[in-house]
Amino acid sequence: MPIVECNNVSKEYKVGASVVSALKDISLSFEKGEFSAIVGPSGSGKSTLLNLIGCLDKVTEGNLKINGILIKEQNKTLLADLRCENIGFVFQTFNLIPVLSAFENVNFVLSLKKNLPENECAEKSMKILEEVGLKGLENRKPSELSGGQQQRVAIARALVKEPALILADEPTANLDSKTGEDIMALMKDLNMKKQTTFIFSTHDKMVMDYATRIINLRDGMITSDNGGKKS
Amino acid sequence: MKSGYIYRMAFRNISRNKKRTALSAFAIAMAVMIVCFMKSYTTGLFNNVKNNVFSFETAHVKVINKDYLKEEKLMPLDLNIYGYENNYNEVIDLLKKIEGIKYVLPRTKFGAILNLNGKMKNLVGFALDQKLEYPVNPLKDKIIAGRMFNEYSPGVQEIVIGEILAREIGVKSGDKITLMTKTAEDGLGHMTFKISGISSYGISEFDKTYFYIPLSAAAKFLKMENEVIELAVYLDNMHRSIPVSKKINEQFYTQQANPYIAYPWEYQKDGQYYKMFVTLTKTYDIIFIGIIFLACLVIINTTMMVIYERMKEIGTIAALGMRGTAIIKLFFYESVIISAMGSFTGTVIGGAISLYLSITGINIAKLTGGGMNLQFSEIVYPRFGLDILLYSFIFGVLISSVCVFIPATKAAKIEPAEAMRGIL
Ligand SMILES: Nc1ncnc2c1ncn2[C@@H]1O[C@H](COP(=O)(O)OP(=O)(O)OP(=O)(O)O)[C@@H](O)[C@H]1O
Ligand SMILES: [Mg+2]
Repeated sequence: MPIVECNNVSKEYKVGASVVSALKDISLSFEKGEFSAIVGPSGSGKSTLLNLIGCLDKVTEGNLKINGILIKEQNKTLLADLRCENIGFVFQTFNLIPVLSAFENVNFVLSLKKNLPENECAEKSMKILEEVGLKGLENRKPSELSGGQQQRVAIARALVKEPALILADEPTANLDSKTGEDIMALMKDLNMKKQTTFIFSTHDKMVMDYATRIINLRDGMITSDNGGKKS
Repeated sequence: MKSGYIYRMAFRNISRNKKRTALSAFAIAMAVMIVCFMKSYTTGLFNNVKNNVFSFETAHVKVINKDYLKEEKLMPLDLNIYGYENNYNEVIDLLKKIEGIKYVLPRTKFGAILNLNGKMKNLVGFALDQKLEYPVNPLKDKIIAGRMFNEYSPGVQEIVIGEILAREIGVKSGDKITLMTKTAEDGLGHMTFKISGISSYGISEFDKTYFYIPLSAAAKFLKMENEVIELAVYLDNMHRSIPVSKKINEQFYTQQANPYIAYPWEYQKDGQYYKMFVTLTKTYDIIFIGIIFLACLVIINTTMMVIYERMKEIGTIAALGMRGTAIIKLFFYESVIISAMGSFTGTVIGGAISLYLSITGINIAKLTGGGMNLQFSEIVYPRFGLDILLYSFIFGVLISSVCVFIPATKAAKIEPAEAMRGIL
């Protein structure tokens, strides 16, 4: 069973009286362990697609299934739980919680999960921060970290709960190329080690080189997809 | 989820924008302070008026001589209650048979002149049976210096006078004063009394012009051995005074002579003041709600601003899997902490003002320029009480916390993708 399954998915935004068609009849699926890049010009619908897959927004038409669960039939609480258990996010603008330290930003995500003892959570959080190379910076607030360090915290936050799926919307766009490459290497490494499914969007040639599958979007439609099995 | 992080985040968010926290807390503190003080003040005023009106002026039902009403202002002692054959106790016995009546207190209100080194002062005297009065009107407890008067016996002629009066004429307990009056037999009476105690009702009309003697002394002084001016009737339920009065009057009709009438408080002038006052007090509650509502507007407004400010964050925590209810909780806790701080400050300040003024009193005659021609006391003592403090505190916390639900619920409903774009 594919981890993500889109069947004839469309997304429209209402802007005043007019309607913007951001995604048109997309059918696409992702298998476990894939490391895929969604590429395309600005406005082509990359973020829209990732938001839908991440259950952060509602599809207008079609069916989207995550782990076989039909998303449009779920209520908001169930979707929150589904994100909590299965999906990690890395955002272009990092989106860390400013009042929480690096450690707390990571540990917070585990506290959302049920049935995890506190000391186990703390242990996991420390370990993952070490893995992303932030040992010694655990108690810094996001405002006291560089962009690259913040994005590492964000990746640690996405990874710590060991989700089946990590979605990253232009994860390197706000980083210099060196830091960007480090981050990609880190994600790739985790993909290899833990078989975590990664889907990310990018404009960056370097980032695309890491991907094992590249999906091209233009005007809300898929123009090419190497290696993806179109359904 | 475990609530630890919600508390932690709520708590840290408070110090994030100190100005807004201060503004919200200040708005609540002000509102709660005003409510706390006003509630103390109106309760004090209300109790005062109630006491004033019911203890001496109207009773629940007043039984008097029918003709007394026509000349009430002159306090005519000859238009009295003399019973049917022997004395006023016959009327008391009659009243006691009627259901709903709790106390019947014989009283005589009379005018007297104090002669103080040639200077005359008009006073109002109350002749009372202190033992019977005690449950309704505990004069004994109002004595601030000296003690209660003793019953009359030759050589023992004791009086209790009001605090302000004592100060004005420069006497203290133990001193002697001579009073003159027109007796029930239309003669001139005078008697020298020893001041056994000084009373303070906190009601300037009482404390300035009233004095109190036992009925046994009045019997001699006013030549009213078997008569009193009124029987003050107190009921189990003061709101049944009209039907009970009707029953009393029916009883009076069955007697051979019918010189008396029962007069419920509602029909008396002072009773109507009281009723007006009750309505007035109710309007205060509306004002309280209005004040708190204004504070709420500040809170709703600042919360809306904060939510707008943190939209991206709300979207992020929702994306990370925090449920809508937890997001509402986050803002709710934050608001509870701020409003608790504000309410606490407001309660402390309001309570301190009330406590201070409950001791010193507020001279409303001074505040209003003395133009208020009501039967109310001029000095109002706000009632300081834990119940009022608690009421104000809870009122503040509850209402302002509830206010936060409106914007917070709205925030929790937004799709995370939209929220992260920062659009409300
Ligand atoms: N919330 C929204 N309301 C209205 N229109 C939107 C909204 N979000 C996206 N769009 C429109 O949908 C289309 C796709 O936008 P999207 O953000 O998915 O593009 P993108 O591929 O991520 O672009 P970029 O590379 O610039 O991030 C665009 O035309 C955009 O204007
Ligand atoms: Mg985008």
